[in-house]
Amino acid sequence: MPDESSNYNPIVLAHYRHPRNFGILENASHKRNDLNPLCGDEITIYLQTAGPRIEKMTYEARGCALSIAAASVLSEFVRNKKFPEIKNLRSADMAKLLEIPQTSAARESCLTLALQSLNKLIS
Amino acid sequence: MFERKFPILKRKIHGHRLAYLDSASTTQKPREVIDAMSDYYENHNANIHRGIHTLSQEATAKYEGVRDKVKKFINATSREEIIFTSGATAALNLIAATWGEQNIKRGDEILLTEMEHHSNLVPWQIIARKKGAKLKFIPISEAYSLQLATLQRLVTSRTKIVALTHISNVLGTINELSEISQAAHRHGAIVVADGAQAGGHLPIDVQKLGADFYVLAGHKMYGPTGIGVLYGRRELLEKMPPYQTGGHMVRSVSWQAATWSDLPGKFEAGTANIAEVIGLGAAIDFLSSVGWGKIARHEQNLTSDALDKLQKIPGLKIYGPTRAQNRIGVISFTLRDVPPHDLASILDEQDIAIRTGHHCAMPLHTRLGIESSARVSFGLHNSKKDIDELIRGIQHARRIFQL
Repeated sequence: MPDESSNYNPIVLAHYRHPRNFGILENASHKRNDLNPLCGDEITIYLQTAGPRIEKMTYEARGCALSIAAASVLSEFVRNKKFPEIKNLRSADMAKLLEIPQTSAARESCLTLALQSLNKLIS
Repeated sequence: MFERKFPILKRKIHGHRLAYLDSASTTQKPREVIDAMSDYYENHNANIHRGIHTLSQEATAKYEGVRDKVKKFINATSREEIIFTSGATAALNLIAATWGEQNIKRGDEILLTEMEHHSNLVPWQIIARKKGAKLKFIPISEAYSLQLATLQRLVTSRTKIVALTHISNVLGTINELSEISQAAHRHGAIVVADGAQAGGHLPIDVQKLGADFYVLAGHKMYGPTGIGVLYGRRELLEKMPPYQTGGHMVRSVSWQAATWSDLPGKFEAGTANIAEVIGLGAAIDFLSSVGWGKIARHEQNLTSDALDKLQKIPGLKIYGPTRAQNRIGVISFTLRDVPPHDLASILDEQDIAIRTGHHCAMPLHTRLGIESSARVSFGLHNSKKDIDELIRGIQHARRIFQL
């Protein structure tokens, strides 16, 4: 059996092991907590914004490797982006950021927990 | 051993043989159950209890015949004590909403356990809040069984109900139901047992167990979804108000009022899940044809083999008794550095079906200090080959995570 899996490439594993921008953001202008009741994954997102632009996103999260890695790449991606640029992001974009194939419906919520939470926060 | 009895196991998932290790969520269905339901729809479909015509009489005979089978299956005193519901959840809600509504008063106590499934917890939370009653919990021990020594302190004259699972759907532990029933009855409390995880795994004798109410889930004992059983002692059922009202459950109706049917009709409002009841009957026949001796030996062998092999995996922690005694083949575990959800996903890529999450027991997971766990559970169709595939799959996941 080859030691590889479509969803667990070195990028996903690296972000899972060492999530970027992880932690509380002091003086956050926005904060929101979300829970995926199906699996128990939980995320709290903190934002520092300047008008309709995200200066910094941090988060505290617990959950599967995919949801942590997705939050991590998202936090890097959204830095200095304007809200409208983020609103168009879909699970396919998250998969692209992690360089994994389009994932199954069962894992879609893992991939998009942080994204959905962020979208609720800025809308 | 019984793999060929289950048509679905002929299916290839991702091009390979399926190792289905999720029977605690729902069992696969043997050919007999599927055939019995098709036969009903193809040859006997009609509404029951109402028709003079032949089909209706045949359907009624089949439906009521299953009531007799269930009565025998759990050793109830009479067939009127067997109520068909849409599932175990519906049965537990029925008890809380009728017996609970009628009998629970302010200051009463409802004693549950720390290992309850949400379906035997939330209905009691609601009735407790409504009535001003208090929920208490029998704690679990380090060995993942109930601490029976606490019964002396926890069961008091204020205890109205002791509601507990017969077998934990997370830990696999078989609870000492008769001992707990005795303690409850000494103080005048009634006992509600959730047998969702027990049905199909061990013989059930509601009289010996001392259960005043006992519920079953058809789909976890090789039967179809959408069918459950509520057993209740006749004396209790007779005094309870109906749960749902409408057709079939009434004796006579005027514009202003209605009177109720006798048991069991009083609790079976509306058109029943006829095909599902017939499927449940076929599942009971299937279990009888295999026999409890064979079922127990088969499941114990698998459980013992799985426990041995799982415990050898570095970083794997089992939540439940680590020996095959006093437990069934439901094994929950965590693997250090591989979140359960990812593990299940990697196993699925290898055609191994397991369950992850909190298994509808969030407070228990909190009590165990984890958010979620992976769970494997066995049925009659499993073999040691499935366990070997599981172990290989877990090792594979560890390598993917570079452990």
